Amino acid sequence: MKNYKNSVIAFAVSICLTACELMFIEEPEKSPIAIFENFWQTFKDDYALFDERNVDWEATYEMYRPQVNINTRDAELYEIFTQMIAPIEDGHVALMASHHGAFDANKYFQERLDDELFDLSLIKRNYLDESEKTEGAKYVYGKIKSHDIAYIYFDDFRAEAVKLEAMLKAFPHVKGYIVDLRHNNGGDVSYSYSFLGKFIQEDKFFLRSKTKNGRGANDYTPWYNWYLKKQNPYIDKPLIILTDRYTVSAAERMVMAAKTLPNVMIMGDTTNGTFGTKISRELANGWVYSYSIQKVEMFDGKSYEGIGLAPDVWVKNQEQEMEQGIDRTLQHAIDWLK
Amino acid sequence: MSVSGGMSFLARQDLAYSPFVHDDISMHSYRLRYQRIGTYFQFAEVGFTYNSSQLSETSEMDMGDHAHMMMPHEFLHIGFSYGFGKAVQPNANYRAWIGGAIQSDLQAGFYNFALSNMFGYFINQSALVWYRRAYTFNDTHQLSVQVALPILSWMARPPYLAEDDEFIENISSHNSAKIIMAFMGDGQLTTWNRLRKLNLAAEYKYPISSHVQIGAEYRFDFIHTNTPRTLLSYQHQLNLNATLKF
Repeated sequence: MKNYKNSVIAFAVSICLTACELMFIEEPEKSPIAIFENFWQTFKDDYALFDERNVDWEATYEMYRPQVNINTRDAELYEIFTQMIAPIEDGHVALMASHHGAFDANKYFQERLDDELFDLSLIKRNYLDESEKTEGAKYVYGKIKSHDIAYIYFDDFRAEAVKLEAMLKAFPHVKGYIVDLRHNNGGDVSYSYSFLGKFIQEDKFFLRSKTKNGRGANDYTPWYNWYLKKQNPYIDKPLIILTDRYTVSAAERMVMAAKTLPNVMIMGDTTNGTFGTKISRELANGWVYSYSIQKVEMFDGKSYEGIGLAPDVWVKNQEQEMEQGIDRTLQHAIDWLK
Repeated sequence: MSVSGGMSFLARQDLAYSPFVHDDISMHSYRLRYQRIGTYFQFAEVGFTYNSSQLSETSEMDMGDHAHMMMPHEFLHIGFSYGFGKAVQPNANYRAWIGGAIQSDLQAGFYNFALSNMFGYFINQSALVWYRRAYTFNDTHQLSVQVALPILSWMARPPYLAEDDEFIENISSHNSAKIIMAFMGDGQLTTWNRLRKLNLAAEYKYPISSHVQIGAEYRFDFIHTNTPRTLLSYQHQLNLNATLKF
């Protein structure tokens, strides 16, 4: 019996020793000041693009920290946070707060500038051949009416991106392809590149990136070179990619890769200018926020963060024309290919 | 052969994803165990638990033309182990065994941050040593306790900020099995300097026939690593079990 008791005591002591919650690293507190400090410090430690975005984060602290005290209400704190991140102008920086709202630190997303200059229903109605159209909740592809041209639109780079391959299989004998990345929200970067591999005959270097890996201002992984890998079968046909200010993140990386290809033309408006991978974090009051943790340079050695990628041919839709059912950018691409 | 089900209590802090401790009690703890006691002691078991936790309330918000949903983070743990040992310390009060085991842990965290979701993982293959004692009271009640400690592990963890270029490269196959293999390929060999794990288990059994036993079991799993950032996880499982003897 003594041995049995010893075993039980040893077992219980082991659990108590290891289950001691004091071993957890202290969590940020829920007071307004602690939430502010956690929010500001996380950006300071992890955000990769203060230089590219011309933001002095220390000055931001000096300006806004005095506005927060133990009596600051959630609504006030939300306003302060949105004012802090607005100048960053990064399509990956956002704040979402239950009961208070959601804020994008990118003027295009926040104010929906030129949002109305893209209308998928207009394209479906006036440009796609109804009998050769395949459609899902977030994508559509098919043939352009009266033309031997295939068209695809999808709104982000997740599972829908595999429809790029489906379009190629469905229309192997057309004269050319139009990939519409206007109003594409990006998503999983790993979907961005494989499709373009069919349009090259040899691997091509197209960008390099490095990721924050420590709290110091210069703590980054080594540069990582990204290559487009050739894929079979090779497609020797022209490809036009349509872009606008809402072409963002993974979609922009695809444009970056496409700029290395001889048979590809970019048409439309300049892209958003948001390239680095983003992550999200949470605050003690349950709010969530996101930010970029990578620096990205195109094959020319330049960063286009906050600048965006200019198209080869600049075309912008006009509201009056859209009311008449005309998508000037798409029409331009069709005219080019036909 | 025994099957068990019951409660899982999880408290977990993984700084690669959040500075906060996520805890939860769920009714999703399941275990299937095969045990053979002969000249040698052998066991094989597979376990599964599911927990979810969130700081904020579930809500949906529109941002531009997209709705974002705040939902709980989810933690899915799958474990497999096979052990082999031999009897030691013959004693009138109890029987004891000591041996080695291999253990595979696949722990996935689905961090739902609404603005973007992140996939967390802790993948671990360990070589363990274990010690087990079994007591029998009144020729019917059986109580067993077991402690297991890893001596060598292969551990795969996400990068410092959860995602980097290697991570993106690893998920680019979009095939779950290949992704897991890619993560494992980026793992590293560890001992107690980098990974501290402890498994404790206690099991009570009572025979209701010559072939069937019923009882309860308690299991405690502890994980602590600072590679590349602190992961600290305590998991308690309290299950009811039924054992078929053949």
